[in-house]
Amino acid sequence: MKDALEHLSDESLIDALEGAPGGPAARHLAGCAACTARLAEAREGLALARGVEIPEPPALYWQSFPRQVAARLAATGPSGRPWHGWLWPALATAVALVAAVLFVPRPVPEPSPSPPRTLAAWSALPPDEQDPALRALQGLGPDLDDPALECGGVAECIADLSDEESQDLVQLLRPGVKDSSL
Amino acid sequence: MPQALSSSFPIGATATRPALAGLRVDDREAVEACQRGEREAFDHLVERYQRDVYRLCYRYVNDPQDANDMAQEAFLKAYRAIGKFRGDSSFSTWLYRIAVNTCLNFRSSRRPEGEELSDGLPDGHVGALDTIVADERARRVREAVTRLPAKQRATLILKIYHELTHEEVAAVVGSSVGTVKANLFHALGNLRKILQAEAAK
Repeated sequence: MKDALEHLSDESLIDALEGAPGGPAARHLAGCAACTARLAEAREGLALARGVEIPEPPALYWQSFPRQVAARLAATGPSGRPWHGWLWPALATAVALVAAVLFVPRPVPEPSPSPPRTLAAWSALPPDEQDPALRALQGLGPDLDDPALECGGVAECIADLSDEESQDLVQLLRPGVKDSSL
Repeated sequence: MPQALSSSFPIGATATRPALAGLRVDDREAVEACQRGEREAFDHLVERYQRDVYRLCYRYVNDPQDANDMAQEAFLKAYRAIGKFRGDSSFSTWLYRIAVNTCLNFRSSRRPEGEELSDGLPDGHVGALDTIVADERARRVREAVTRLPAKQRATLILKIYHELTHEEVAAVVGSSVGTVKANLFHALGNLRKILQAEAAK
């Protein structure tokens, strides 16, 4: 009576489909139309599924497939990402550089009195008193001070020039000074 | 009298079950070589299992190009993970598990999900009407299989077309034997319903 009331589970029906129903399951199936119908449906599904082939690739496919896998393995590193041989040495160098900048103690330079602002390049030029261009340049400062100049005035800008810039400026001024002295 | 399922399940001509007992030593040697960094040893495993993995993938998606992509991906994943393989299961079970997971996660870039599948009739088989009918029937069944829920699909493919035991299927899909049987039962019922609905159109 109990066999007829409790229907077979899906698992039991698969066992029955496989031909291995236990005694109680077999007795239940003999007297239960619902379970018999479910079993018949499963059997019909199995009949539909079985024997269905898939298109077979050409024989050459099976020769090329391992080569394709091998090529992809060769192109990828152990992590599976594209392997760039240069990447890790470059990263290691970058990390070492950053570590060196951040953590290696650097000698603190002793404070020294800032040297007087001089136009060092001018030492390569004729003596001050003999160079009309220098005299003209030095004379420009007080007259051309401009508050818009970021360096605080022509005189200061001139003092801030590099040696090369100073020489260029002198070379630019020299012809004009010569003309005016004629 | 229930028909015996074991005799009903086809020994598919296109699905050769890995001979676990015979190849186990070979598998172990190849796996150990791979774990030592001998990549060439993996080629032997690919050659040995490529048909099973490809056919599993093909059954899953019913598309040769997608099946090719998935099978390659499954082998790549297997190679990357082979260092973790400890032999708790057979290599084929472990590889099937990777292939099934690849199938479960696969999204075709060529065919949007749910789109009508293309006609997969192979060339060179159009001479006889019965062949056409058989091919068309096979195409419809393969298509219907791809519409099953993911785990039902995997279970049906592994059990019916690759002839794994319930225990092996359970190990592959990571569930209990009871769940495998239930999934198989529902897969068979759903396959029947899908095909009936198609026939009614």
